[in-house]
Amino acid sequence: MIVRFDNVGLSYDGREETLSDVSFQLRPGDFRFLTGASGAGKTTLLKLIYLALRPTRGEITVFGEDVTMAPREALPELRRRMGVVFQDFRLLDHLTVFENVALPLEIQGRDHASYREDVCELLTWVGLADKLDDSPATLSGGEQQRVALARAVVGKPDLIIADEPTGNVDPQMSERIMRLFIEMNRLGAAVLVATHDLELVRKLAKPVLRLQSGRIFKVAAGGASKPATARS
Amino acid sequence: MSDAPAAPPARRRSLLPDAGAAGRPLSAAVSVVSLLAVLAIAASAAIFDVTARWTDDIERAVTIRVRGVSAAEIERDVAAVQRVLETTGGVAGSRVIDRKQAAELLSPWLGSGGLPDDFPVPALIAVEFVRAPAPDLELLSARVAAAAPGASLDDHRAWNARLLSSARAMQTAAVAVFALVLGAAAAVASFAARASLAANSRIVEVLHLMGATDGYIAAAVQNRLLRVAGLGAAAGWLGGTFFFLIGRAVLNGAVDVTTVGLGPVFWTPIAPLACIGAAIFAGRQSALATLRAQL
Repeated sequence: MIVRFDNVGLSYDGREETLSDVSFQLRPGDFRFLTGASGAGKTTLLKLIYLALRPTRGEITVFGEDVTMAPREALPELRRRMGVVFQDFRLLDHLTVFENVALPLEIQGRDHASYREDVCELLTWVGLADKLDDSPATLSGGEQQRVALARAVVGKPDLIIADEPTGNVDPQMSERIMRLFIEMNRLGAAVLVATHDLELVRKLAKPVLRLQSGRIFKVAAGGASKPATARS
Repeated sequence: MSDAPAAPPARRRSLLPDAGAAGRPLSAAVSVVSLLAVLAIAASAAIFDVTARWTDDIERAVTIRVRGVSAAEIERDVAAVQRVLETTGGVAGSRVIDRKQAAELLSPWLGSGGLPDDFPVPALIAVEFVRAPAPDLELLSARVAAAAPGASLDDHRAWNARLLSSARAMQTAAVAVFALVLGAAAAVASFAARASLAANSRIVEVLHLMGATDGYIAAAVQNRLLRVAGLGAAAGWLGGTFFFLIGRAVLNGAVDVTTVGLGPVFWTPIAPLACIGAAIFAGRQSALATLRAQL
């Protein structure tokens, strides 16, 4: 099991719960969309998966490890198995595009010589071959998004989490990005993509987790929605 | 995926950019701290050097005072003492301060008209040994007393003890100053490490989320501190050494009892290295403590 949520609830500072009784599973090879209106809790749910937050109740298992109470020392190893495309990209402006994309590999202790060709190829594939030495701050929103995408997949992670990965790119690049996700998924990575783009969801016909008022509903590809449970 | 461009070289930039107190202010603070540490070390080494030389001189010499009721008796006893010295092993030489020299020494009190012939001025014999410590002084003292009843031996031990005691007190003070200065370097680096993490909190969060361990991020802080504190410590070392050499020149020109050598300068590199070490250690520990408070 890649990710498992059991009756997870989360509230900030003891206020009303942002997420309530959220239960779902993500298995190896799964590809899911996460949809919902703005403020429904999509980003909060993703943060719980990529271990930026801990739930206030319930149990979360990531890569078979109960992370609800796991010691901090156990988290880096789990995070290295994920690739995350943040909604706000979170690129490091004092590093170049190449260095940003190579950073996860560097953190894993990989030698520069062992990854430089891979990073260059990946950046070529996302159309940024001529921007290797540029600062992300000088790039357009769409270009920054592609750098963030390349950084998320460069380490061939077991789980790819993307928060609105096509929000700033044209339809052609959007399709190209989704093709990359599908290819990564075909190679074995589980993929969870949070998006507003219902046209994209319809076109790819992948199962959907729909968040509404902090609760999750599972929607079969192209089907009607029903509340999700831990066993579903 | 072909036609990929040539890959750039490995990253040389720090993961944590210069920010706030971790930049130039830290460098300036460490340079001042390093300068003080250099002066403390140089002072301690200079005191040790001068004291060792004084002690060596004192331990290699004794003074024999010969008293008597008449000048003739004193002269006879001086001759007897000199015979004893000639048969004593390890004696490099002796010098008698005769009546003429004694008259010169006493002239401020007795006038320059010379001493009356019957005035019994004690004779002094300065004895120097080949090496310190001197041979068995108790035996020598007994032989001198047996040969010349009016003669007594002074080995300067009491004066030497007081000198050593004062020197040790000054050295302890210098070492205490050095320790305080290292503490200051550690405190400044600790503050700078926290400031660097606070100023770069967004970057730190991204690194954590990509799987960086606390140790990896602390190493980035440490590398930054090494560069910044290293520059400051080197500047402080140059400044401190310069001030020491100026002070040495002034002291050697003003005091003719002894001279301060260049030996202490060779100890001064300890100061910047110790400052860098203290800064790196404290900075890393502080960074780790700060990071442990995050998820």
